[in-house]
Amino acid sequence: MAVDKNLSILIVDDYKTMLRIVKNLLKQLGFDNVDEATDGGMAIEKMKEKAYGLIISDWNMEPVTGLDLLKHVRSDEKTKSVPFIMVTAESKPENVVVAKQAGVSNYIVKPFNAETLKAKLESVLGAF
Amino acid sequence: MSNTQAKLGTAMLKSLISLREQKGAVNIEDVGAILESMAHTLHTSDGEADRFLREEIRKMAAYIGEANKEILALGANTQGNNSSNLADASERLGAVVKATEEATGRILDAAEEIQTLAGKMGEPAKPIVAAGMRIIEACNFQDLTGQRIAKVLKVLDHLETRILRLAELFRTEAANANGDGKDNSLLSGPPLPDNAATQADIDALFSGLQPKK
Repeated sequence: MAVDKNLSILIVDDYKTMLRIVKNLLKQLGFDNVDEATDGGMAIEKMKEKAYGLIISDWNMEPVTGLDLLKHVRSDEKTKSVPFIMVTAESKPENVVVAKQAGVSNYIVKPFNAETLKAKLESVLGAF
Repeated sequence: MSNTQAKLGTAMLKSLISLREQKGAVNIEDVGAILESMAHTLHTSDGEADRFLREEIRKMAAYIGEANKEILALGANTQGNNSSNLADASERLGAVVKATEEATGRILDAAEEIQTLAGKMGEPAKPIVAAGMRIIEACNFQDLTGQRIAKVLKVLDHLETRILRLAELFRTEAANANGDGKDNSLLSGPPLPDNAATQADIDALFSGLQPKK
């Protein structure tokens, strides 16, 4: 099945520069329907208002971290199956293990490029 | 422990308790003064253990005096403004983060403008669009430098707090350790380049892990 390029995507990062970068890269890949949140708490509020088809989140945020957000998403019946990609500078093996155990769909380590983002998107959405 | 050592330990404890009752608190200079006094008391004792103890106490008193000067110097204002040296360092690092964020914003503005204009020029301009993409990708640096500096700022803030508390040694303020109950052991921030795992390392680990059941 073809990937719906109109998919609603929520990107979450406390650095506005990173939000711009991810949004721009998604646009280059054909995904224009992108909302932003600057921490996990804001993301949770946005998810109450809108159903997202993909969440791309940083880990190191306060007060609600990306891991907190992931656990929240996986614990809610409405969102538990939403693909969730962690994009983070946290690269220790224990971080990857904890994220996977919490149900992350894929894991991108910063700094990253468009090619990596595309590959990880395709791994969770299908080829496009 | 020699009889003299036991007596000295008791004497020191009594002196500290008495001082605290008189003054309400004992500071580091008081400890140094007590140690000097004890060293003087031992002056007339000739036993080897007591000579050793006398010398050790003198060294401790001298060390405490020096440590006290260093601690006060760290908290001192030598910048000609209202901030301590550590607070000034924190402010400067904060300014670096702000400046890099603003500069990165301007770089992204320009790169996006290039992509928009080149996008209208069709196929021949594809290399320009690709170059614009590389500029945007390179702007990842601002996120990483910002996180690294944020870590350093946290350490400086913690250091300043600890130093100020050391300077008020023996006061009875309760420790205010991390009280929000959160486990921050997974939040290391960006590693140094020599220690950083590559995406290939992460992919190999990730694909080998069992998904959550």
